Amino acid sequence: MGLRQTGQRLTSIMVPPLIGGIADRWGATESFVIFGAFMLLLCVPLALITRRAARSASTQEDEPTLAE
Amino acid sequence: MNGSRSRPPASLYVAGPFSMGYVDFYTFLIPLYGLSLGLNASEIGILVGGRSILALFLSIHIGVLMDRFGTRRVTLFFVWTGMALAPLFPVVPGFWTLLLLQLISGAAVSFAWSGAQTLIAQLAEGDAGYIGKFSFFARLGSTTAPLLAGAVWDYGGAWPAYLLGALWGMVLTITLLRTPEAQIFGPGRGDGRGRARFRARDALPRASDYISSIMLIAIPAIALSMVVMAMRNTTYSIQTSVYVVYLDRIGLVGTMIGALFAIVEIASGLGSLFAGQAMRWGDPQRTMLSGTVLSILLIAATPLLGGIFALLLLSQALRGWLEGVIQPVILSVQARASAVINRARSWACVRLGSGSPRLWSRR
Repeated sequence: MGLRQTGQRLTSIMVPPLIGGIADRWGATESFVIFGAFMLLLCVPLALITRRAARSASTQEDEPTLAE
Repeated sequence: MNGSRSRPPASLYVAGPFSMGYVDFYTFLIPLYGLSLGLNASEIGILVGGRSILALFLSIHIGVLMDRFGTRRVTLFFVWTGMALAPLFPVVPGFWTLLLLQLISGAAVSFAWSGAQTLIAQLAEGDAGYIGKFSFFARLGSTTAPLLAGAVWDYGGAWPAYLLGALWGMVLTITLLRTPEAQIFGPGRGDGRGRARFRARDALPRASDYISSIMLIAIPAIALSMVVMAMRNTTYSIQTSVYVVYLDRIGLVGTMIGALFAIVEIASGLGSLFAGQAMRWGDPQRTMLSGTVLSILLIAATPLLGGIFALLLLSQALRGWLEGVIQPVILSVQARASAVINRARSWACVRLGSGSPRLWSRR
C-alpha cells in the first residue's frame, strides 16, 4: 500500500506542472493531445509486457508444478 | 476479546464525507483561485502538485505520531490546521506565498483524511463491512464538495469559498469530537497498561521497510499494476489542473466545473459495482490496461467535444465508470501477486532449512 501511495503521490506532484508547462508552451487544447499521445505511447510497451506475461503464464500451466 | 466486533459510532460515518470532501474542496478551489489571480497553467500545475509534496515525505512520521498520541487527536490537529489556513488563501495573492500555503494546507487536509481512514479501520477492527459503509459515505463528500465549492465560488468568489472550507472543517471537528478514540489509545485499556512507550527510533523511517517495498517492483504483476495505477492517477492530475484551466477558458462557471467533477465520483461508485464481473471478462491485466487506455483517450479527447456541456458530462461519466471498474481490478492483481510471492517465499524458507518465516517478514 505504501508503495502504491508513493507512486500515486509522485504522479500527483509531477504531472500537473508538466502538463501546465505544455499548456503554456503550446496551448491548453494542444496539451491534452500531446499528453494523451505521450501516455498512449507509454501503453504500447505495457501492452507488449502484458502479452508476454500472459504467454509465459500459459506455458507454465503446461509444465509440471512443484506440488506435483 | 469477545467474538463480536465493536460497532463504530454513527458520527464517524458523518466524518467520512467531511474528511474526504475536505481534500476535494481545497483541490477544486486552488486552480479556480489561481486563474482568478491571473496565474499561468504551469504555476497552477505547481500549486496543484504542491499539495502532495509534504504528504509524500511526512506520511510515515504522521503515522508514527498517530500511534504515539492517538489517531483522533492527531487528526483533529490537522483539521484545525486546515481550518486556520483557509482564510489566508484570499489574502496571499503572490505565487510563492500561495505555494507555501498550499504545501502546508495540502498536507494538513490530506493527513486529516488519512487520519479518518485510520480511525475507522481501528474502531471497526478491520471489519470490511463497516469500512465499506464508511467508503460509501466518504464518496458522498467527494461528490458534493466540488459542487458546493463551485456554486459558492460563482456567487461570492474566494472569500466565501474558503470560509466555507473552514466551516467544513468545523463540522468535521464536531463529528470527530463525538467519535471515541480507538481502544488501543483510550484510557480503558483492558490490560491496565498505558499506551506503548514511544522510542525515538520509532520516529525514524526504517530502511528495511523501504527496501522490501521497492523490491516488490521486481514482481512483474505488481510493477505493471503500479504503472497502470500511476497512469490512472495521471488522468486525475490532469482533471485537477489543466482541465479546469481549459474549462474556464471556454467559459464554464464554477458550478458547471464542479458538476463535471461530481459526475466522475458518482460514476466511479457505480463502476466499482462491476469490478467483480470485470475480473471474469478475461485476463485482469489486459482489462486494467485497456480500461486505462480508454480512460486516457477520454480525457485527451476533451477539446474535441467542442465545449458542449452534455458531451463533457457524458465523457466524464464514462471515464469515472471505467476508473471505478479498473481500480478494484488493479488492487486485486497486486494482492494476488503479493500472495503468490509470499507463498513462494515461505516455501523457499522451508526448503532452505532456515525454518524462520521472519526472514521474509517485512518488518
